[in-house]
Amino acid sequence: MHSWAVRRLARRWWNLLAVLQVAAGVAAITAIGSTVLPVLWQGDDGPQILTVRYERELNEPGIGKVISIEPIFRYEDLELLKSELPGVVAAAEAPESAYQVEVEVEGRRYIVQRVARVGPDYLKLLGVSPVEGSFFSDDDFRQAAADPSGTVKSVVISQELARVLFGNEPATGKTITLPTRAGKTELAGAASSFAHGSVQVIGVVEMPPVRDRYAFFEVYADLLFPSPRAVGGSGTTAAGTGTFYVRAKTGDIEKVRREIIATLTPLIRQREAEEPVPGGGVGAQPLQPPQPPRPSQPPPGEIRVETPQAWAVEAATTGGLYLGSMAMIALIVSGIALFTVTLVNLAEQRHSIGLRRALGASRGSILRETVGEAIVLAGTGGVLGVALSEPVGRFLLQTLLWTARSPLASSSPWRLSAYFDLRAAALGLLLALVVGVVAVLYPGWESSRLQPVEAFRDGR
Amino acid sequence: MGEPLTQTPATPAAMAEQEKETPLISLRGITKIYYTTKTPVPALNGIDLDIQPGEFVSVMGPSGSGKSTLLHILGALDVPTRGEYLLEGVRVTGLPDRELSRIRNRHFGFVFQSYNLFPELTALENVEVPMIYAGVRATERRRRAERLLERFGLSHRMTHRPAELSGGEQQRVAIARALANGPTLLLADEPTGNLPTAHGEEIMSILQELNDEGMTLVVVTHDWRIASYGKRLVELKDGQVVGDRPIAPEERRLRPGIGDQLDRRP
Repeated sequence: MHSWAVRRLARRWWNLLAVLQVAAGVAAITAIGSTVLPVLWQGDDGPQILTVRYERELNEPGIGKVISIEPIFRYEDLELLKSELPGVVAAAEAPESAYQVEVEVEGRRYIVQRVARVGPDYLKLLGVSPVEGSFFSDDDFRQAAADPSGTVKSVVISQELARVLFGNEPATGKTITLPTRAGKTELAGAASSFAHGSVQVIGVVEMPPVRDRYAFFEVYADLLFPSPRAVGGSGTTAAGTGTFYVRAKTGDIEKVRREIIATLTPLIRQREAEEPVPGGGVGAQPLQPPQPPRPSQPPPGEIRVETPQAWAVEAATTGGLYLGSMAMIALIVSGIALFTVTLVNLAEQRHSIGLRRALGASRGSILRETVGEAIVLAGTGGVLGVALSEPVGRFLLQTLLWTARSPLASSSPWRLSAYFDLRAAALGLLLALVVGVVAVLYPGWESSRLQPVEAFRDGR
Repeated sequence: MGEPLTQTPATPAAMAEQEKETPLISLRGITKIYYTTKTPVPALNGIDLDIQPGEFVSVMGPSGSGKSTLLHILGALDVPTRGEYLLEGVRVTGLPDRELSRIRNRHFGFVFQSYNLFPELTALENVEVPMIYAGVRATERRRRAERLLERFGLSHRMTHRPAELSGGEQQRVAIARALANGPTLLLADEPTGNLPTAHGEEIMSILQELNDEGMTLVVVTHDWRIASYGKRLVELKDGQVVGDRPIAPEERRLRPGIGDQLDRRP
């Protein structure tokens, strides 16, 4: 492949169309792959996080079997695990959170991906610590509990958000406004509960690396409020919870999993026996051999302790297959564009091909040159697609918000698109090259079969 | 000179004997019929022709006589329908494409009426193209291309594209390109057809000079003034050879001191 082939390509404007088509496909693959592939590639190598859930299979009339997650765990269960099991570093319930929340800083508007109310164990659970200022004090939690409707004026933010909102300046002491205008606060979630007006940043936390965040899917947030459910320094939950998270010490996570089940099961059985479980019926007797369920009595529940990896991998596989297929269709369409453009190029180059054959190019050389040109086109499109994947993602989301007449459409979104993953970009680029080569094999082969004199006769 | 073909005699004595006797080109009963329409169109009809090394053969004939078809078959750009084509005693008809491409690249140089330069390439790059297919290294390609262009008085035009060159300059670039791999035979199809008379004579003088240096030439033309630069005249009519004679010295046009002239060009 010589530079003059590139010059030849650059002379034909329609090659740009194919390049843009490939760029669109690769941008889609990169954006989707950057979200999905890190989860699939990471496997069991992620953070040592376990989700603990109480599930009961109920037979709902007219619906059939449903899985019910019921708030049977109490705060003392979390304390018990921390004190009794040396493998447990932290245990915390899922924070109450909202997504795509609009905030204002010095008149500029931003969208924060996630805002949450968190308990005292939050940083321990994530395995992080403040890099600036401090985390919430006992007073902060007490104040939150005293007035859950939202007089709390202290927040902790992620380092990433701090960088977006305040650049390199220290964030501690800065003011962030969460507008109280109805319907303007967020895209989804509990809107009004986070409409606090002006709040002050008291600390900045370096959050876990992007590749680990799937493990904290329900926990991770960029802007933190103290939870009113955690009262005092030790904290107690005002109500039970059906799910909580445990951070295990590095090592035998499977052993910790078994210990959690063994510790909690007798307690749960006792509660099932003592209290009528929401949903009706009388609970099963604790620590008794299983009895055949009566129609009016719900069966005993089950404690499920899982790593988020399994869930994340399943979600990533399903979502990845669905979105990935659409991105692949885009890439295949770009292959068709490359095929068409190559046909046009070869028709235009018929004379040039004849000349090259006269000067000693073999059929193989012509085929190689055609494939080389396709690689240049697909490669250019691929690199462009990789470069555009992030801004295009932002633009699409902005367009989506605008189309939906969302008041957030005029805000400056940040972190709205998928994360950028180099391996996903490499995969997108590789697929583009493969599609490009496959698309031009047939036209290239046809052209290479031309007798030199035929090309001379027919060409311009 | 071009690389020897694959089938060579075993001993030096046999080689010497063969060189003496074997013509560079030998055509026997070459027939070409085109089947592009319902009625087959014969272009060449049983051509027998031998060309010895160092000859300057002018092929003349009216339009449709088969001159260009003969040139295409000689240059392995087209294949005959029937007949046998031997190059240095080696059968060319029936060779696989790869081998034919190699022969075109190493043994033949082509000069066309409409120059056929690549418009997107500079003069220097155009001359380099055949050497790319011969696998010559980039530095050597550049060196050889520069030397050839300098020889034809184009050292000041090396980085110019064809559109920036006059017709005569373009044809000189085409001749330089034809010589890039040191061919055995130079084939020219109406090489002055698109040029004004002065430039046409200049081109023919270059070709004659090359022949004087030992290059074998076949020039196809319908113009006697051009044909008369050659040493031998082959006349075609209706796809057959109707005349084959040496051009007498008194008929022959001879070049002026072409080398000196070109060297003095600005």
